[in-house]
Amino acid sequence: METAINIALAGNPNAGKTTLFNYLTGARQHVGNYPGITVEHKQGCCLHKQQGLSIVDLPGTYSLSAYSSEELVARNYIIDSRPEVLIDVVDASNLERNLYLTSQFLELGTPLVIALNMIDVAENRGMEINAEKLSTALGVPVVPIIARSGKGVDQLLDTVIATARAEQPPQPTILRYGSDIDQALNEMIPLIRDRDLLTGSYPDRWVGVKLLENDEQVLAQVREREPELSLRLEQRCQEVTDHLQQTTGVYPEAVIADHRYGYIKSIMRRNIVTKKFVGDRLYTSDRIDKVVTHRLLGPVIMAGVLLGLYAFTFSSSTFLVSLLESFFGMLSTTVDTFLDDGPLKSMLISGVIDGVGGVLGFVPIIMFMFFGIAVLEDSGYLARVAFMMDRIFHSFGLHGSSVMPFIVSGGIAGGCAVPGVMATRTLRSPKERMATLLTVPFMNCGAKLPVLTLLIGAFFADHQARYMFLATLVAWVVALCAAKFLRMTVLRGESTPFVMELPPYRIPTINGLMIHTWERTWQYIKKAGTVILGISILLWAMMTYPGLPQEEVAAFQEQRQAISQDLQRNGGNDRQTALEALSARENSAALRHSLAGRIGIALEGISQLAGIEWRTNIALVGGFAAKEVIVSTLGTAYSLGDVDPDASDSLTQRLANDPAWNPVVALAVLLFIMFYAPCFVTVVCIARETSWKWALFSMSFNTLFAFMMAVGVYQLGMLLKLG
Amino acid sequence: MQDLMVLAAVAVAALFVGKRLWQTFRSRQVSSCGCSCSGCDRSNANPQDCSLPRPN
Repeated sequence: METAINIALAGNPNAGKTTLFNYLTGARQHVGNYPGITVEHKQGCCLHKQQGLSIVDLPGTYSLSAYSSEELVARNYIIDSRPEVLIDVVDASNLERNLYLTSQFLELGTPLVIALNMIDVAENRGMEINAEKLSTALGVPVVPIIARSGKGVDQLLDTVIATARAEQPPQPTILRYGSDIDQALNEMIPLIRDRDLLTGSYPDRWVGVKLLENDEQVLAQVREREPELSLRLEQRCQEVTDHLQQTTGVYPEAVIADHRYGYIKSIMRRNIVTKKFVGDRLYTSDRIDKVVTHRLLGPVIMAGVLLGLYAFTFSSSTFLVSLLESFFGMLSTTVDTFLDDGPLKSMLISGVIDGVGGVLGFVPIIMFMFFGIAVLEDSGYLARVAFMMDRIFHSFGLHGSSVMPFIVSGGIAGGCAVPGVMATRTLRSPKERMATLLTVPFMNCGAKLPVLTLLIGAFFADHQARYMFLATLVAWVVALCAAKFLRMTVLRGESTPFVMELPPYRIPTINGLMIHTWERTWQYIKKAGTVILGISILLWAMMTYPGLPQEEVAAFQEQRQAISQDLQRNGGNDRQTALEALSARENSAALRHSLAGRIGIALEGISQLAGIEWRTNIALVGGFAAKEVIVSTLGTAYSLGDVDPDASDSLTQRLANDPAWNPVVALAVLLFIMFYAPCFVTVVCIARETSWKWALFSMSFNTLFAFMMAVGVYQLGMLLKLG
Repeated sequence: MQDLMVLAAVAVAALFVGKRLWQTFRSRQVSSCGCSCSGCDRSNANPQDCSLPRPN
């Protein structure tokens, strides 16, 4: 059996590569209506007319330089893995700009097929593109497609297969870069060819061009393989640089870029694009942006949209949440009825139902929240949020590219810090990247959502949407202030300029919204049913064992008998209450005596400063594994320590009725949870992206910062007698 | 009996969670698709399915 044809999808950010990839493979990779969503390559397969195709989705890039990680990922994949056909996904509505990358693929000599995507958008803008003429001009096949609907994709795949089966491999296109650079290249190419310098991987002219562009990766390879020749080549490059500096005041890379654009201009002049409308016509997107991204109106609209999103989430989910609460209450009662008292019953009720059930109870809220976020994302509004935040980011010493990692991490609530940390790869300045990477975990990720919802629901139930909005604002303000602090201290340096691309608005498809919502909600349910369930059982065991010593159990038993006898003789409510109080004392003593209880109590000496009691400490420690565990652990801890552990009260009710809690404590705990150490997976991710030193710094810095904040809020709140 | 069942459940949970944490810790790269986070909806297409027949 022969293997499938290897295909790679490349192109500019937001050109529709991932949409095409999803269409071809049936996968559900995250598609963002903003650039920078893919930072590593993804693989999938499809079968076209009995031909197997192995497809790789590469990160979006504007060029094949070695400036950023995504450019390197794309370039290295094309060179090292040598796909049989490279599909260059080109945004037809931004043809000229997209062809810059195409020109570099042509120079590389990779078998190329151009997928002229979003041809419908181009037509709506009054542009008519002659694909045949474009194909003739570039010397490669060009197929117009609409990746979202799949129009033209069959023809694209036919062309891809034909290209893969072509007997003659394509030759690299030779572009002219002006007399100075061409002369230098003419001298350098024979030297490169004679010594076989990297020619196994790259065309010889391409190596020369990259050396003139001062490409660090190619330079390092040349230095390593041929140190002597490298000196000669570098010297020649320096001569060209000096000459160009003296004569034109620019560097060779700028001249090379100019000539590439010149090549594109010459192609575009061949009547490839016909414009039906007047050139300065404002597109619908631009008209909307005039209002939506307005300096004053924009932030007001943004705040309104967020507030609306949260109001929609809470109002739509109330009924379903109460339905789920009743279901878990009923489940608890059923288990209580059919099982004898013992550790299994305790584990099922307190560990599984009160623990995992507590997390699952928030599924409707999560689902509606994700639906709202999907609407914002798919319509293109999220990119506008990034654009508006970009203005603010520079004041805090961050790069505009930092906005996306923040949003991916949960800037609107509901993201994940792991892809957020990985998205920082798009930042070129190491210090800006580090500052972003260390502060993105401050965002309200999807795992923190149920915790925030729980505390807000228990103590600020009348204004849930407003408090969630405030929590989002606080997360942004704190993250930006922390970034500013880092940029002024350990990560001092200038911020670099950035140009943000705004994709056009699109009407989200129902199918797309449903897929996005379901995928995210399913991840939440799956995590609750696997990792959270496992951790809940372990934490239940830690909260149950070791049990109370026999003598203490006997002492409680004696007291119980005494009260019961007294109750039989005299009756009365006081004695019944005394019996309940005794049960509560015994359950509490058992929990305190357990391993987790001892850890919680050991931490209480410090945590009391923020009003955090020992049972919450257990949950906070567990939350390091995954933030949702905080909810499940609180559920178990308050169930085990309850007067009647089998009671079907929801965790929200239990917390609201507990004397150790009040709104001030809730606010302090809420802030601590929002900002303390990131979860285990995020810490590992930070370590992989940087080093363990920075990962440990992130844990300690965040925890210390969060604790100071919680102490401040609690002490101030108690001083003002708000508790 | 209840004790035995609880012991088995705790052992399975410990193995499962331990394996997941170890895999995360040991893997060379934490994939954006493997975080199992609620906000992370990236799913991996299975590269092993790629060995499809190619007719001559």
